[in-house]
Amino acid sequence: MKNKKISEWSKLDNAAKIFPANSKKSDTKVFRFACELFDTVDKQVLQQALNITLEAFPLYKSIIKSGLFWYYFEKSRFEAIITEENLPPCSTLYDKNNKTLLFRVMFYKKRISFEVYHALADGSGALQFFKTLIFHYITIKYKYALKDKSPALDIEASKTQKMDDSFQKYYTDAKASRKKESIKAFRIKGMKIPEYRISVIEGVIPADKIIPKVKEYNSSLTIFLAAVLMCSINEEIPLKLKKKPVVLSIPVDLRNYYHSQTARNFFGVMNVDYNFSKGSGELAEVIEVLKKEFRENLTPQRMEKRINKLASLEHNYILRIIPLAIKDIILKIANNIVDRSYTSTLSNVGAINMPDDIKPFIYSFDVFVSTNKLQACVCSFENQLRISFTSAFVSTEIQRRFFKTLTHMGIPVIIESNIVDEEQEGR
Amino acid sequence: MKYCNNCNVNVTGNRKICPLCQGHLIGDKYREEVFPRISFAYIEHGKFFKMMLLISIIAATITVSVNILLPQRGAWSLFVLGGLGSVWVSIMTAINKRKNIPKNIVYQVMTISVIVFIWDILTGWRGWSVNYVIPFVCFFAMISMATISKVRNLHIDDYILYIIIDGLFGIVPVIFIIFGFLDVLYPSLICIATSVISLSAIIIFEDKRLIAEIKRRMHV
Repeated sequence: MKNKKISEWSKLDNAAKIFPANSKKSDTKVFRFACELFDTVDKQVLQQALNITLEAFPLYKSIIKSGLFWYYFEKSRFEAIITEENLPPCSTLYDKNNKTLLFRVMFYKKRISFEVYHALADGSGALQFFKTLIFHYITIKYKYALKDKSPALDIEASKTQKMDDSFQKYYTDAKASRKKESIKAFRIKGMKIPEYRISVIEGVIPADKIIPKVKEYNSSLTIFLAAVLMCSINEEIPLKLKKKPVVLSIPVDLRNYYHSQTARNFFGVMNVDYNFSKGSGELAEVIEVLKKEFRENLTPQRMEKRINKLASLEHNYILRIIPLAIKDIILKIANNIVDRSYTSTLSNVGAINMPDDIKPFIYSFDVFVSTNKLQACVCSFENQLRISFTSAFVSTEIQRRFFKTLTHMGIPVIIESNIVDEEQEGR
Repeated sequence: MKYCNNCNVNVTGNRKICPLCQGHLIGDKYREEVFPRISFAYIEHGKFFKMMLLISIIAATITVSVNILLPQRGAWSLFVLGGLGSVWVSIMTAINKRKNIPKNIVYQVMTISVIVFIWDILTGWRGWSVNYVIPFVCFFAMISMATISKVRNLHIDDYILYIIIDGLFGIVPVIFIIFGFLDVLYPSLICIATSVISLSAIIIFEDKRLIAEIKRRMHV
């Protein structure tokens, strides 16, 4: 008999545990990395590159199954097949009644898109996979151009390091603080795009044009963009809701604080807020407030608390033996509460680096995420900074104000977007 | 490059309208669109269902009304309501689990067993549910699971759990026999015998796999 091997399995890491219970059509918990090359994508080569990449990332062959107490990854026999892009951005990847692999690779003209279900990995985790994929694609496709060179990727993590559950590793059993200043955040309301589609609006900005501006405010890029976003949201708050603060949820890559190279989830979230009814609302002031909040939130003690809070769920024996069906309900309620506590999200993935020999073949990288509100993701490659807004709403006012603020400062912006409204299309 | 005078931004693709302010763009296309155009499906999901649901409600309302007008024969409309309800429960389970056939079979066995048991009780316990229906449903479930897994070439890990659940369920009629609920023995005996044989086969040949599956499913 064939297929004699017993299926391998592994637990979901701590951050991943909340995703299966809370994935729905309106918020699929899927995010996308895309890479645009200078040539049209070659499907066969991409498939070859994918097969090689999968060897190094065994967890990506998994599907999620439900046990009596927890969800878990089980190695599946599904094949990962490259398709031409034929789905709206960030379409469902995890459906408990229709099991598929937890990622997909698609291509469209010169672009390679890689979508991942968040339970499998966070941004930096998935980026390791994506960079490896692009690396293999380019080295195979352009082997003649590269024949005198031997480019190597800067990812030296072993298979085990990539599979590492870093939440477990850095759990310290210190009491997680229960202090929870629950502030009711302003929430964006409005008509949603039909069929749970999201609009993607990306602003392409030369990094060397925006950095001087950021320096002028003596700030970091993330803080600067967060402040501009907050001010843009403020313009949209109806007068009677002005008392509510604008709260941005900002994911923090914990790999920067611990020696982890995991390709799975290892992030925490911090909320920063600004109340426009209490301050001047000037960009400079918002930046100053955010600077202070960032400083307070990014101390090692706060980081540790964050990890412990997430990990404590799994170290609580009573919680552990609650059947999954009931855990699902609890996690859904918890997620709803968390959802109310912030207005929008800004996620800065940072500069994406590739080996020097590979760089000339790549035009740009971008990243964005599924959402049922408004989210911004930022990443840069060489001198090209991309700020990608995804939104479930028809209105694009906040995005418009955001980019208008930048162009007013003399920063040139190119807009790239998907078409969610047939009228937009030129004929 | 396409340019929006309002927003002072360049726009990729050959649009006429600015994605930010919906104003008109000027200039020429310089770069291809980066996203493919994916039209809305415009398929109203579950339209058939909504029709069926409405038809069921119409049928139910009419029967109840007629029943109230002609009360001489007792509350017979309750049978119609019960019947409709049962069919709906069964169909919904089947549709939700349609992608996983072994799981679907187990869910069907469970729902059908519960439904017939309730029917039997409500219609003055004649024992037909435990005498015939439950054992036979269970038996056919085991047979069909074995056949389907062979025909569709399923991997054993994908159905081992469901064979075990169905097998264990198939042994339940032992209780009926012990407590003397049964008037007709042969359906239950066939069911129990099949269960015992299939469970033994799994335990003898796939013991490691079974233990691994239990460990996965039960990890805390």
